[in-house]
Amino acid sequence: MGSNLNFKNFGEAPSMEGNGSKAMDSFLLGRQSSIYSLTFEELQNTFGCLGKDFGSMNMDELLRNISTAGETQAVMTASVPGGEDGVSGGNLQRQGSLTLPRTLSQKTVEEVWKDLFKENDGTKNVSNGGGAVVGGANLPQKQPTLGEITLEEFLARAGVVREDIQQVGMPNNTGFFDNNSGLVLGFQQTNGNNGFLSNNSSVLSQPPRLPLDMSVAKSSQPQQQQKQQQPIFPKQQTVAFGPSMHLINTTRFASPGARGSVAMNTNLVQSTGLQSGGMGIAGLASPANHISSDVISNNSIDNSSLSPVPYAFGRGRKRSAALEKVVERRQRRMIKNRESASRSRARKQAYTMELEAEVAKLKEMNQELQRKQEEVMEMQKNKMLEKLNQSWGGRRQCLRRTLTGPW
Amino acid sequence: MARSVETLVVGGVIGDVLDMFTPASEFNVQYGSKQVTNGCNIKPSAAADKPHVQILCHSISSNLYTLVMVDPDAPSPSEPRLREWLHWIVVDIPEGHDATKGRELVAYVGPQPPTGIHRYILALFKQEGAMEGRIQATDVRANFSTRRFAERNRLGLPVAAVYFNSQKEPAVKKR
Repeated sequence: MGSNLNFKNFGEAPSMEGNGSKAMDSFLLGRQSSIYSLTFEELQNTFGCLGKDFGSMNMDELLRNISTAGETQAVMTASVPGGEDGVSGGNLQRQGSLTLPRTLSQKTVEEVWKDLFKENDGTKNVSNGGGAVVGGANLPQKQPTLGEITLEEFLARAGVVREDIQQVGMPNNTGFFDNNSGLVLGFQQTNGNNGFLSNNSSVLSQPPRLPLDMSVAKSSQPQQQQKQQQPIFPKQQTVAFGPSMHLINTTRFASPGARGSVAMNTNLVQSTGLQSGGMGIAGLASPANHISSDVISNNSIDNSSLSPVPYAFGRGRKRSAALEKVVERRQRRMIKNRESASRSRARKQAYTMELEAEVAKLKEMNQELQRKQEEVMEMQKNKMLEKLNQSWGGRRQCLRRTLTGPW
Repeated sequence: MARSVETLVVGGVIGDVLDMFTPASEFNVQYGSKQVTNGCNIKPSAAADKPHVQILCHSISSNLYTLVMVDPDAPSPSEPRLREWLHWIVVDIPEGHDATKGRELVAYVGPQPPTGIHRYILALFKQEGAMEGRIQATDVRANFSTRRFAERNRLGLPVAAVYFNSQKEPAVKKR
C-alpha cells in the first residue's frame, strides 16, 4: 500500500499524498509519511511481523510497536483537560515516544476503542479555535471500526497526546510557524483541550504547508502566543534528517508560546535516542539545534508560562526536571484522589449493607413478634373461654334444684 | 450472622485491623441514645465519653471478655502513619454485663479525627481466664497492633466487632 511505503520514504519530502488514510485526505496537503496516519488495518498489514492482533494488544504494547515499527519519535504529551473521563484523563508519562495516560496503558486497544466510541458520541470534535475543523470532518469517518481508524485518531482520542514537532525545512523562518507541516490528520479533540497532532514532516527538504486543522495557533514569529483555545502548537523544526514524523504538540490551555522547535530538532536528531514521553517541547535544549536561537528562547519563555501543562520528559533537559516534578505531583494527587474515592465508595457500600441487614433483621423480628402476639392472644382467648365455661357450669350445678324439700 | 462480617469486610475492618472471624457473641455499643451499627456516623462530640457496652448473654457462662477500641486511620485515612491508634482497652468483662464491670487497662479517649473520615473499631475477644497480672497496660497509643495484642495475650480471633465512622466537626461560628 502506498501508505505503508510512505513512511519509509522519509527522504522524499514533497507531497506524499495522504497515505491512503482517509483522514489524510482532508488535511494534508503535503506528504504524509506518518505512521500515525495509517489505519489500523493498514498497519496491521504492514507490520504483520508484529504478530499480534491490535485489538487485543495492550496500549503499552501498541505504542511500543508503533515506535519500533515506525521509528518515529514523537513526544507525546498528554494533557488532561478537566472533565475528561478516565479514558483520556490522566497525565502520565511513559517512557518511549508516546505518553500514555496511566489509565490507558493497561487497557487493550479494543477496550479503549470502545470507550472512545462511547465517549465520542457525546463529545464531538468541537471548539477548535478557528482552525479548520479537520477533525470534525474526519469524525464521521473515523467512527465506524477500529480497523479503519487511523493510528493518530485513535491515539488522539484516547488521550495519548503527542507533541507535534514540525519539521520545517527552514530553520529560521518565522513563516513556518504559522503552519504546521503535515498536520495531524484526524486530529480529534474530544474536548477542546486535548489535541493530537501529528505532522508529517518531510525531511528538511520541504517546508510543510499543511493546513493545521484545529486552530493551532500559528505564530508568525517564534515567540508568538498561540491561541489558547488551541492546545496544539505548531512547532517548527528544522529537520535534521529523515525520520519523518516527529510532531510534537504541546497541548496546553495556558499560554502557548511556540515551543518545541528545539524539541523537535532534538527529537529528530536523536530520533532513536529520544525516547521520552511527555512534552519535549518545553525548553528543549536540543543538542542539535537547527533552530534559531529565537526559537529556543521562545521555548524557554513558554516553559515558564506554562503552569497547568504537561510535561516535558527527557526532551528538554533544561526544563524537564521542573516539569517532571509538576507532573509527578499531579499524578500523586490523582492517585490520592482515586484512593479517597474508593474509600468513600467502600464506606457507602458498607453502610448500605449494614442498613439492609438491619432491615432484614427487624423484619424478621417483627414477624416473630407478631406471631407470638397472635399466639398469646389465642391462648388468652382460650383461657377465657375455658374459664367462662367452667364458671357457668358450676353455677348451673349450683342452681339445679333439688327435689328434697317436701312441700 | 454472616452479614455483619460482610460489612466488616467491605469496610476494610477485616483486613486492616482484624483477621477473618466468625461472630460468636453479640454486644451492643451505645453512645447515649445512639446505638452503634457498622459504618454509622457518630460525631466526636457525641463520643467524647465512653459508650455503654453490653455483652449479650446467650447462655449462663462465666466467660470473660476483652474489649479493644482502635482507630486505624490515624492521623488521616490517606496516610495512616499511626495505624492503629489505641483508644481503649477493658479486660475481664463478665458475660451478660457491661464494660464498667471490667477492668479498664487503657483509659478511654474519644475520637478526635484531625483529617478525613476515620473508622473506629471496637473488637471483642473472649478470654481464656482472668487476665490479672499477665496483661500490661501500654502507654504508647500510636502504632498499636490489635493482632499482636491478641496474640500476645492468647485472645485468639475476635468473637464480635463493630465499627463506626467519625470526622471532625466543622467549627461553628456563632454570629
